[in-house]
Amino acid sequence: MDIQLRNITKSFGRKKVIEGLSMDISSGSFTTLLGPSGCGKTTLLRMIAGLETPDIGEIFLGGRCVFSADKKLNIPPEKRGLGFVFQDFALWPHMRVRDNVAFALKACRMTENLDKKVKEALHAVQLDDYADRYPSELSGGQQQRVSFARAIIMEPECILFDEPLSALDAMLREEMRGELKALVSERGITSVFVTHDQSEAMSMSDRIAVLNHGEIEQYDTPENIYRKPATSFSARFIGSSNWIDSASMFRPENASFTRQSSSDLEYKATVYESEFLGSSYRVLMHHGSERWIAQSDRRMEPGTSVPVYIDKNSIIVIGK
Amino acid sequence: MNGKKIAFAALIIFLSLLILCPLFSIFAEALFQDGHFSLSNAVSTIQESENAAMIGSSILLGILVVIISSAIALPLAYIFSRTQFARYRFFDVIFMIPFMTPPYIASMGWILFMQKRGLMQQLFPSLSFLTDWFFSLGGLVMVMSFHVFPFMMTMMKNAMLSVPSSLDEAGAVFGVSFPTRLRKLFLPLLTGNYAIGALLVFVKTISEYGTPSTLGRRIGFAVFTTDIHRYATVAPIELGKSASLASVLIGICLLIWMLQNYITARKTYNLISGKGSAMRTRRLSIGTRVAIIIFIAAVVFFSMVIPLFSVTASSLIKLRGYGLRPGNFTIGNYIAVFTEDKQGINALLVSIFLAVSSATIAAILGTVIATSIRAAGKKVGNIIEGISLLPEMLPSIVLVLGIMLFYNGIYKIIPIYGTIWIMVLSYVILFLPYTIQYVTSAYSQISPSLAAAGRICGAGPLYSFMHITLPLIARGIMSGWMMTFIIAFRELVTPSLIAPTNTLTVSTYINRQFEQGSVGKGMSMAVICILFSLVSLLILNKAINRKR
Repeated sequence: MDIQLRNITKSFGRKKVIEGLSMDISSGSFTTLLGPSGCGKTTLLRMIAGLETPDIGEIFLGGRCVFSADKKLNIPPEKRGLGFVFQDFALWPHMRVRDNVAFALKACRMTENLDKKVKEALHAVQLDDYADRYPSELSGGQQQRVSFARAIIMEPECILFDEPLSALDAMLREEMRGELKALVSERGITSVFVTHDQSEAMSMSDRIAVLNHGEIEQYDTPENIYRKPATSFSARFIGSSNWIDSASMFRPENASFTRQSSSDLEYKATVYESEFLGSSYRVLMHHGSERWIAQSDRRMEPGTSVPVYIDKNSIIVIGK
Repeated sequence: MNGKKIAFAALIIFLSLLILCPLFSIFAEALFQDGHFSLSNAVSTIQESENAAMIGSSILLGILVVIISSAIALPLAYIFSRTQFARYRFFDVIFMIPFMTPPYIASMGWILFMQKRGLMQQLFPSLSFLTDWFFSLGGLVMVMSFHVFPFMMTMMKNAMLSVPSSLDEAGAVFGVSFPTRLRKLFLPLLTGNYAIGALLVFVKTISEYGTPSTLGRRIGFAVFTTDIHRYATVAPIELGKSASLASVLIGICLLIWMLQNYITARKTYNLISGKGSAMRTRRLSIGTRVAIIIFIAAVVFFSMVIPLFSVTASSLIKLRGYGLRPGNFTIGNYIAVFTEDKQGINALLVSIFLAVSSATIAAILGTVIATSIRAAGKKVGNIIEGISLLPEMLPSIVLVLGIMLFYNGIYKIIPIYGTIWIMVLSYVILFLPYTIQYVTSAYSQISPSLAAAGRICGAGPLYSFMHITLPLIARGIMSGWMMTFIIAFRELVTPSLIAPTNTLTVSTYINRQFEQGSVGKGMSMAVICILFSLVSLLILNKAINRKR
């Protein structure tokens, strides 16, 4: 199911959260809305789901118009046929796992083969033996799996994820990334994923939309965003960036403390800290008023002035 | 979208009719004379020396009760939050008993205990000199303080518990001595809470009708509530005077509520408690522990043992003249309540009917209101909440007077004045805030995403409400129902003011038997009433604590 957003604008009171945003999400893709908190990414997701109403604009799901401010059309969430995974899981505490998962089928009066479908959904998330538990009797990861099962049982063409991994601890989060990705890609489900965690976005997405103050800074593949950031916000928000001046920067891995080729540019920097990472050291430096980071295989004493060499082609010049 | 707005507007109009119109009737009665506006009536009422003195003594009573109940509540709050006694959690329940005992019953117990040839003089003849002291302002202040102190104690205890021990430990680490820490670090965090507690106790005291109408009347100590009642019911009936006094009382209450809000906003602290804020209690020396135990025992003795013993003993005594002696005990009074005439059993049935019907209506209406407050957004929600919680802020005697005036005035349109239905209506208005508060607090515990998840799963708003929201707030609704049921069962103000002729409730039955000398029967009914409240409260506690 492809998704089209046209000129979406939304304010809460006097505060404009999204302004004139348009965006196309292609069918079957895994698209991430990435940005700092308050950038409007969750609001955008909730508007696609029908949980918030835009002030202006249009939304199309698979070619069907589900919202249009001009035509006064607003299809309620229950008629949009989407899946949604909430940040706090939103499992109903008074229902057993089985009933949480079966709820959508019952609400839509699709009770044919209900038990079988519930079993399949729970099997898909490896919770076969937990059908009769209450949510409070499950661990965080298990609760999140139940909410996945609940989202896939209706076989939606699209699932919206609102920071689904942020409530889990770091170890579990990495593990669940893979599971989540496999679950939706096996089924060819279009996924829209909201997060403020850039490494999550980079590792999972086909495309990332970087949002800032309700506007799209860049909408591209993870590789392109990292290698060719379109704006200084994109450059700073994704990966580390060492700034030479306000318009040009390089990534730490492209810097070296020894000259690699005669065409390398040379800069001076002053070390103020070396952090031991195990396989290498991370060296923190001052270059004028900028702070730079680079990898080194040996510790450098604070206060030492060092040359930093960069391949000319690794320097990224940013338009705006 | 528009349908929603119309529904909220309709709800606001309905609540205004229900709650605001009776209040306006009071102002109208006080300020309009033969159809014209005139302040003179109200002003002259207040200036009458008798009324001016009454206003003065009401306020004096309020202040004295604040002082005495603070003296009881503050040490207890500290003992049960900051010392090793804090782990005896069952005291939380025990100290609810005086608060849950209807004040008119407690003061009857005290009267029966302290009066000439009463239980005290029989048991400890040497203490007879206390009788004269008790039947004075001092006794009234004591009885009211022993009723209201658990309220302040609970407030202050929670405030003290919210101060993390780490604040005190930080002071200790930096070398500050214990008395200085108490004075500079602990107490300043609590002054706001104490001010709020004191103001609420003051409002509760000047709003109270039960104790002044029994003990206060016996010693000729008139206050707002008893005078409002007297002008409205005893010939020559002067509703204008009653309404004028009620207006003044409304003014005082609203003023204090505003002050309370101001203090809450300015002088209370949001204490962050998270990890590591575990409460560490002080270890006490044996001497201090003994002193504390004596203090707790004394409070329990005065606030519970005396009034409850006195009521129970009086209900079991055959002939009062013989007093407490073997052979003079009987359960005949209890049998008489049910068999002697129809009055007792009828009063019970009327009270049960009123309690069940008003609790049910208030539970439904309260749920609708709490749901609307949540759904309506801040502005409209605040209006709905403000109107519907008004009955909790004002003395019930004032509201009931307003209901009486309003429905008397519109008798031709809605003829319920003088029937049992006006009592049902009055109970619903008085107790609506309980359900609203219980349901609102139930709502605050469920994440909005639960209902949103229902919508996403294809459930319409109604299906989602019935299958997700309602089961989750059901316990709050139940608690509201039970609380209303308990309070309504023994409600005194409404039946004393607007009961249809010859309709008695449990409270007015007890009152009448007490006044007319059938003390045994009255006190038997009182014991039934207390046991009934207690059992209901235990069931309520059980229901609330049965968490998953």
